[in-house]
Amino acid sequence: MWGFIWVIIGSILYGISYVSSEVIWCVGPLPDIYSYLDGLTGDIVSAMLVASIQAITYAIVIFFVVTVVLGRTKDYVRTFRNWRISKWFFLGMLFGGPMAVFGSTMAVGFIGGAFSSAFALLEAIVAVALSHYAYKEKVSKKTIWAVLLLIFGGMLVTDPYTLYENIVNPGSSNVWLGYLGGLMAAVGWGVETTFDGRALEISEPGVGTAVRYTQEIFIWAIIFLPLTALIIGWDNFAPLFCDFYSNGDIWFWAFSIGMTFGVGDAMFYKGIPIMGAGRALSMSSLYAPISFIFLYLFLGSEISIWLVIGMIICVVGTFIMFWEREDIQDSIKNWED
Amino acid sequence: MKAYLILLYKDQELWNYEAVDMMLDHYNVSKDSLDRWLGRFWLMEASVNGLLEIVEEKYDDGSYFKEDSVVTKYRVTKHGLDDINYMLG
Repeated sequence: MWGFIWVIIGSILYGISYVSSEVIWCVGPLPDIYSYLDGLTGDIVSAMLVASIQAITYAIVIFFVVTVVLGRTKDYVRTFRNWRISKWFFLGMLFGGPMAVFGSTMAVGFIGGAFSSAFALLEAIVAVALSHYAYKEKVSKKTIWAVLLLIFGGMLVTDPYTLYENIVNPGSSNVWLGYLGGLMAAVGWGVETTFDGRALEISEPGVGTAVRYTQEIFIWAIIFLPLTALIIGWDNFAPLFCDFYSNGDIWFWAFSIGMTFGVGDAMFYKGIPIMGAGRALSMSSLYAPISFIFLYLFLGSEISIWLVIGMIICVVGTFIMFWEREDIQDSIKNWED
Repeated sequence: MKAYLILLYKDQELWNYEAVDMMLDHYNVSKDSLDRWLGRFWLMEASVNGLLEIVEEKYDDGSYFKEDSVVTKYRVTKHGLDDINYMLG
């Protein structure tokens, strides 16, 4: 009963977080991005800045909400230093952070929050495929059906008609970056889930998640942002960077993403041991319809009928996949020899 | 902490209270701490994951975890050993 409540609250918070991540594109220097950098470069650099500030606020929120509240600060330092364990989070982070968060940021920025949240549901396909081929976890017939449903739903989410229009007639906007971002998010999160799933067999979620987001801050601060600065030139990069990071509105919305998404994550982890990972995952896929409702309520986003139908099919697919697995195998993972 | 606990099983069979107490000693954590229950939970989790298997069970008269429950002796499985070597090697 409590597990159910935690996971529901968690997915409501996930859903709300898409509102803040859409609003962040309308504050600070971001609407006038083209006055700093032209065209494509401007789009990509702005998505990178948003993704990096999200990593910072997630790490802070998760560290204080989960690690400190559970009294596991010492474990945090120990896990961080222990490369044998933290390398698995590091690998997951590479896919989950620079690839998935960056990708979903691009999808939100160039197409919209609703598209981004619905398309990310496809991560389940990647997670199933990878755990089957790389780790030899058994895949049941039901799972395969669910994957087919997810692919079909995913095609509807991308709105085939508009996608076709966009490809044939690209126009001036860089909308294809949004589709690319959606794809990066689905693949990245799918791979991350698989790695983290393995890493969590030998380490604690409350500590591991905080470690993972801290590593992400480092990778943005040490590798990706300086690299961007080098490529586009420091003189082009610095003014945008300073305006972005010194803007109060940006920090406010980044923190509200951190609070909703990060606390949602914590609730979700609390629910998993009580109700089982499979059931928790299928419950949490409800975040997509919830995000649609909130995007509509707060921002009045228009939501196409394709998106709704596709999303419903994806949620049903996720339910079939995990609910069945739980019932038949009694939550015990099966391994092929 | 969790990794240390599971590594204890690498080359021996242990009762869950033995392993958990070894873990608490190693990290200088008090025996009344909630971590003792967490350790017991991690071992159950590992056995459900297929890392450990149950060798023997006996009745807990209240001197280990709580009265009227079962204490369990675990052994690492072949899959678990592969996994430990691969993940933590």
